[in-house]
Amino acid sequence: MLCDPEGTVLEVMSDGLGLAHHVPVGSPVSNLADPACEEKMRHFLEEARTTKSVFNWEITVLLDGRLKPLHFSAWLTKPGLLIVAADSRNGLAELTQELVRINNEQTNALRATAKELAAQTSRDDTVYEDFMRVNNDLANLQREMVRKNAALTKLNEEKNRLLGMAAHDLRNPLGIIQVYSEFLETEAAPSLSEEHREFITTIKDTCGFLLRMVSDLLDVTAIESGTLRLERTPCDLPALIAHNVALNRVLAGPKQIAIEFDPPKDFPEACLDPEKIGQVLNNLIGNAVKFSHPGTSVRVTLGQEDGSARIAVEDQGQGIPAADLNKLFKPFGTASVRGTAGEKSTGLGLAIVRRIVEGHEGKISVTSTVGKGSQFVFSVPIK
Amino acid sequence: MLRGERDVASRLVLLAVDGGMPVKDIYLHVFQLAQYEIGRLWQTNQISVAQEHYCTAATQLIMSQLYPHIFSGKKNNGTIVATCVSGELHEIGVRMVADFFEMDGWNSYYLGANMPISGILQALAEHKADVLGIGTTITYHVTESEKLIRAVRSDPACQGMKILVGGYPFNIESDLAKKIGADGSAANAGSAITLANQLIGKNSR
Repeated sequence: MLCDPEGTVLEVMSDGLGLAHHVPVGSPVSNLADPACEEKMRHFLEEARTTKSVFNWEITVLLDGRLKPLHFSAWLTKPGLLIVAADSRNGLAELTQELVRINNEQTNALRATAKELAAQTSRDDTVYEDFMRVNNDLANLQREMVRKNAALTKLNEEKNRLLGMAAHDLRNPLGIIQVYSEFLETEAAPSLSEEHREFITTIKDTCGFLLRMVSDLLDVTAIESGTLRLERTPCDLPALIAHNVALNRVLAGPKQIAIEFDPPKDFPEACLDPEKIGQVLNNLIGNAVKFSHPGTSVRVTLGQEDGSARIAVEDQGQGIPAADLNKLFKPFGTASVRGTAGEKSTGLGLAIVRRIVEGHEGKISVTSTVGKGSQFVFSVPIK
Repeated sequence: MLRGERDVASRLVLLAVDGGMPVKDIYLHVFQLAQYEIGRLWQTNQISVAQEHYCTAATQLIMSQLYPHIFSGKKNNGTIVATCVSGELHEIGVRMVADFFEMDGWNSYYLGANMPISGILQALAEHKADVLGIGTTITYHVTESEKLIRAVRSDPACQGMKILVGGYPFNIESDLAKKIGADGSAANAGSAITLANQLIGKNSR
């Protein structure tokens, strides 16, 4: 286009983009630009007037129903302001170089060339737009994900709080039932029939099971809500294990299951929470006894490995099917095997064990063969 | 960002937030000002479209790293669903406004710019929105906003919905918002929140 210095169109010399109808002779060249780019167009014309030539300004234009930036150049000549707009940088650069070298008469001869150059497009702009769209979509997805995460965290906290409250409120009434049933069992037994004595024993045992479950539930919710507090002190680990083995021998005796433990000598003191580790040992050894048959044995070993204490509890019991292994340490993830003397499981013990071991920065694992037995191994750093 | 060092830019922002700078201040005095400067540099031809897009995309990425700070607060205000009309590339402005609403105690849901009208109506009903916010940066897209507003007004499930619009076209023509059927327009996040609270009869935090 040829325009006067103020930007009024004097002549459209070449229109390979089909934009001439926006800028008839006598209209301002700024009509080409999208309203949001009017200011930029004004700067462009001002710069062209003051510096006499400007190159490659990207100004957005409505083209084929879409907005896209065109590359504008302009320079001040005797007849007026020569303005060129191309939809590719390359086309514009070549055309501009040509026009600078020749005079007005030869410009007419280049009209055909200019038309050809303008038709060559690099699809830079489409790529940028696609990239922006993908980025927008990603940002939106990220926002939604974080919002959902925040909601889930709140729900989890609420669940733990309610569970803790429920378990707490259950403990007292259950405790009362158990105490009274124990009282009846000892004091009132002589005046009761055999059948009624059995009823009371069942009430007492069931109550005991419920109390254990409530206690485990409270433990799990305390751990889940992050309130597991470990009180670490230097411990004599061989002695701790030996004490726990002795306690479990009381329950293993009637089932004719032997528990073997050979405490290593000169074992270094370990910095652990003795009560919580005792809970872990009690659970693992108790389980080993529960799922073993009479006449078998449970072996407990203690060793050192890479600065950690390694404790293994191995039984010759029923074993655990492979399909059950990966849900063992999850709350209520009971395996399909049952206690050999009809003992019941709350389904929370191993979940608590895992949390306690991991709270000590330790690890726990299990290997098992159905019909042969299982081995639970946990390690905790000594220092 | 203009040097392509978005990792350095990200670290600067995260360090400031860890050091106690409120996220609202980062939005107002860093992200928003950076966007204005990027716009100014493009208007004066000092950066190309590619650089402008890169800076916007990098800013969005850094903003998304602050989302855990925004979404952890208490919600005790209304619900806003915000969106851009289809074809809009610059969603960052409207998304920032939605984030401000979230920080003010609103439940905010931001839908992408290519959500069909039926999807927007569904979201409004599902989230029981009090307010719909629509962003438009270019005049050419105002008709799309009008189409959306008409669809919302004729949906019985959206009875009583308050509609706010924002963006460059509404800043230059003050009664354009009412002309296309919206309840009002706002030029920035702060006044959008004030207006939204007024429309639903609540106080800001």
